Amino acid sequence: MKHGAPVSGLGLLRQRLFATPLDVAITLACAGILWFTAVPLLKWMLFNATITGASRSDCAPGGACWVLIRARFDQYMYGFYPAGERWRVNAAGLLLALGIAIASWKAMPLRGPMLAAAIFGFPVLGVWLLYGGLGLPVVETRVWGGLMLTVFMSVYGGLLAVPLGILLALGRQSELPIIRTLSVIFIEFWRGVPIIAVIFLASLLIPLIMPSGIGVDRLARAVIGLGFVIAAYMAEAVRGGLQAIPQGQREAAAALGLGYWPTMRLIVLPQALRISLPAITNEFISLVKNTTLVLVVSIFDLLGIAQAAITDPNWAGLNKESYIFAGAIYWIVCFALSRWSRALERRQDDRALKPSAG
Amino acid sequence: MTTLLAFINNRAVRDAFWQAVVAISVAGLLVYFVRNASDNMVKAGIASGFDFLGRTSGIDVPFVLTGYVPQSSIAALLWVGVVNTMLVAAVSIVLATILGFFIGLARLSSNWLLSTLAGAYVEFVRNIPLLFFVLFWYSVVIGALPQPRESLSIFSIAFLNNRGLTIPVATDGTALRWAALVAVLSLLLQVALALYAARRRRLTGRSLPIGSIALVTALLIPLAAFGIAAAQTPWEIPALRGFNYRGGFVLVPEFVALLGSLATYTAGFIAEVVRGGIQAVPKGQIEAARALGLSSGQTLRLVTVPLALRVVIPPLTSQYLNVLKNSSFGAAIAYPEIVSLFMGSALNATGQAIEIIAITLAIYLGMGLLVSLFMAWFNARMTLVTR
Amino acid sequence: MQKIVIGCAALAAGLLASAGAFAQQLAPSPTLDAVKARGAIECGVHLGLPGFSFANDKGEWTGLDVDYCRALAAAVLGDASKVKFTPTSVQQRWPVLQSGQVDLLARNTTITFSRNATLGVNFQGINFYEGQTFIVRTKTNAKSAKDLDGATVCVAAGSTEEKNAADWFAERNLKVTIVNFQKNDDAIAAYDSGRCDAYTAGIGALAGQRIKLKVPDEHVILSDLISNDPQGPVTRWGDERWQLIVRWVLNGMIAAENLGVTSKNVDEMKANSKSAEVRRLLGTEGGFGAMLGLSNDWMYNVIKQVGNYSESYERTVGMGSPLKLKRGANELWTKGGLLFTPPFQ
Repeated sequence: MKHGAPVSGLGLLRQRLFATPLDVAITLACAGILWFTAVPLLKWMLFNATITGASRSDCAPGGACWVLIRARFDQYMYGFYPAGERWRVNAAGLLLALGIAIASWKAMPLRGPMLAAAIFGFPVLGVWLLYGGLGLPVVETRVWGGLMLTVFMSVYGGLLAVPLGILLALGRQSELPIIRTLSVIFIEFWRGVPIIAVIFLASLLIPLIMPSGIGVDRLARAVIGLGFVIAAYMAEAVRGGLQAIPQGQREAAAALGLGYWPTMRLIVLPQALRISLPAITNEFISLVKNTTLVLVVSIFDLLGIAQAAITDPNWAGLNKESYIFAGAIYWIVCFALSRWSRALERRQDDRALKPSAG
Repeated sequence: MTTLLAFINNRAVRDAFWQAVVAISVAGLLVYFVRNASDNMVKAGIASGFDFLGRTSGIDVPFVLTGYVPQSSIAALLWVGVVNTMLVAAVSIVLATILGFFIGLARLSSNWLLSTLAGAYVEFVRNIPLLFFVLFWYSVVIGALPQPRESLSIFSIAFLNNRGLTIPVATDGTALRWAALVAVLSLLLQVALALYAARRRRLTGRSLPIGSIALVTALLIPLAAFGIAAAQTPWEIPALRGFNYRGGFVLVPEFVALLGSLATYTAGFIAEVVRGGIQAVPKGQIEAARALGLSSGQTLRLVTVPLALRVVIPPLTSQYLNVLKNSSFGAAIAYPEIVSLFMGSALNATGQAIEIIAITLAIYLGMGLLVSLFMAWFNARMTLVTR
Repeated sequence: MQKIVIGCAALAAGLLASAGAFAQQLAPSPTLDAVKARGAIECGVHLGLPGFSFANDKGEWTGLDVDYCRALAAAVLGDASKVKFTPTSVQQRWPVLQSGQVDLLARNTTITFSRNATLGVNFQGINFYEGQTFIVRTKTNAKSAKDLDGATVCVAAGSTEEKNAADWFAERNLKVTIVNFQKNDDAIAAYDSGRCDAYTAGIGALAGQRIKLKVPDEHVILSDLISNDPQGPVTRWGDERWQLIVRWVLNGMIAAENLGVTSKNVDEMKANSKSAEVRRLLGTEGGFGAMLGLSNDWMYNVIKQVGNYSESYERTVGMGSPLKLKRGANELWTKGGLLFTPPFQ
């Protein structure tokens, strides 16, 4: 970007779009691409689309038929979760929002205890709300589905992956050879295999390696599989942060008589995690995206519900609508997360905490 | 007492103790799982062992580059999967690198529209699950291509329809093999000449017209060789009979769809890697190059790209590994790769989940290791060259 | 006299007690115990095959296989609604059964030698005689499977159909391209979008899946069958008593049809039937349920709550359903079909 003298709007336009003959050609080519892709797409998605109505026959040809989404909206959100119990999903969603609020509101009074409660209490509360028991009717995971399932897998996969990833990263940096070797093997193994195979593995192998009579819930298996893989990636993200902490700090802590764990907890990890937070967020985004793979073990997450909607004979042929709706939700969630991660990165650059590149 | 305390507090002792605890518990857990698995399998009467690899597979595969037929063994089926995985991964890596390189450059363009479009593309791609991409590409490829009767004919020798791209195959490849040999020799000659030219320039300051020589050795000779060989070769030209074209080799639409989705998806990530690499090149270097009178193209080629490469190779390696692993998404659209053929068809035919999963994971780890080693070698070379 | 009466009573009581003790000594059935403790049967079904096992948009399951699961629940727990359905893909079905996540599979699974011999599973009778054929577009004018030379055929990977089709065409020197998808739904969607000229599956399954096509009337199901695919409920090896229950509930539904017992007349038949076999079936005589460790009105519950085989068939795949399949091979042996049950004696 050029920082020159202030120019008028038209001048700016010329400078940015039509500076040289080559620029003119590029600009025209880009405009052409937009004209032939974005314009018909917008027409189809918005201007010629049908939004109101009740059935397939209400849809006008030549435009998208969003009626499908309206008709099956609850399924996209809750799957087959019983209608009378859906308030519990909403409550769990509120809990998640509250947790995020607590985590991001820096100036909140009593932040420490609240944060601890959110991190250790909310996940348990969430499972209780969604699954039931202790006074609430049990809703089995087989009827969960749609967006709530995607969010559930992302959140709980993350809750499994972050602590495990931190431990693995510390293990990889450890001076104890056995622990270091085990960590490296674990990390490299899970990073080296495709997630689709891991989900197959978790769903087929976990029942076989457990003693007979002990069942592990289908959804739990998928979350464990996803959590392990992402933990391995998280470990690499955290390692980046750990390496940025000067060795002198650890030595100083040791000189002060601090043991390994106090040094890590009080000195190294708080800084390392702050540095690696953007990378951790990126891994979380990839976790959200990879939850779609549970489709291969017939768990109906948002994408699965979108596919199921297409196979409904009453709505045959509305593939694009269903996919675009589900895809848009993923995109919004992931885009918001990536913006957040970038904002974090920028804040760190400002603090000049970031290690020099290269 | 004090000696005991000292013993407990001894750092080496404690380290050894904790390591032993971890090692024993990990080993114990593994033994526990393995014993459960074997107990469960014996109890359930599930067959085990690797004998199944020698059994006849009986599965027909639509896209085979090896000599596989349904009467071949399951091991041969696995090999088909490995070859198909490597093929789609390799071609995707090349395409994604080229596409990603240009999108990365476009993002840094001074043209506002171009850089915005490139930015929008990157933001779009990076925040969508790959599975959407694969399913979308598949439906587009299948939907956009015509039925066999309305095939797009390419010079009446190759035909494009929704069954794939049918191309002629040589019934006898001898002449073509000779042509390939000639082409390789010609390219080797070019490399030798280039090395000689570089040496001569270093020693005498005079340069050879290496560009025009390259045109002959790298382009004209191979082309001519292949041209003559192709004319000498008997070809099996696909012909429309009944449902589809008969004869020739079919490049299935699943391949095209998977290739398209992997390339366009990964390009979004590579573009960011490239952008980061170029931005990491110190401004002074570029200014110095311009001050020496290099054109902007020359600056890019001789200064920016070599310097950026050093920063780019490690993240690029992990993107390449991702492509390799993501090729398993082909299972969602019936592209016959490892997961789909081996963890799908073969697993069902034999029911031997543990063996099949173990083999599959081992193959991915092995292929990943190969890619990592190659990239490490390339990285080492690059850093040496730029010193 | 009094002594004799007391003696007789004591003897009777003693006999009863020993009979009770005898009943206690039934072979242990961990699966049955687990089902009773859970209060529900875990039934592995197809992901979604109209007519056999299909969940509508409210998550309610219907179908021939689903009915069978409900019948089993009625027999074992006295309540046909106490079933939990686990939808399984072609790949998942065996591990899910082998690892004990489900008590049985009822998911149009073909009985084959190698499955029985190597997978550690047993097939408990036949609830549907399936035969493999093809669905093609009407405009291709293919009348028989032999006309498919050169065609591209979509199929679900890992199914018996995948191998059947390859074998059948190879034997006849016909060249077809087979594209293997991971799920039936993916395969039929690809066929619908024009990727394939034909989609192959069982004729019953095709009747159900045809409904999912964009324009069902543009497609025709070929009538010649290239294989016999008998299908029925599947259990794990071991736990013979559970295997017996699974087998005889199916037999009972077929026997009920043969004996003319329906959900409508079952109360009346139970009270008044002169037929000894009906009385044994419905538990008024013989104590058959107890021999399996169930209540004696086990089959009464099945027929009252689910119906006999014919009622279930007509409701799910027969004339009372969108599939409109004739009975064909699935007619009783007395009426020219293959459906048979050993006697309740």
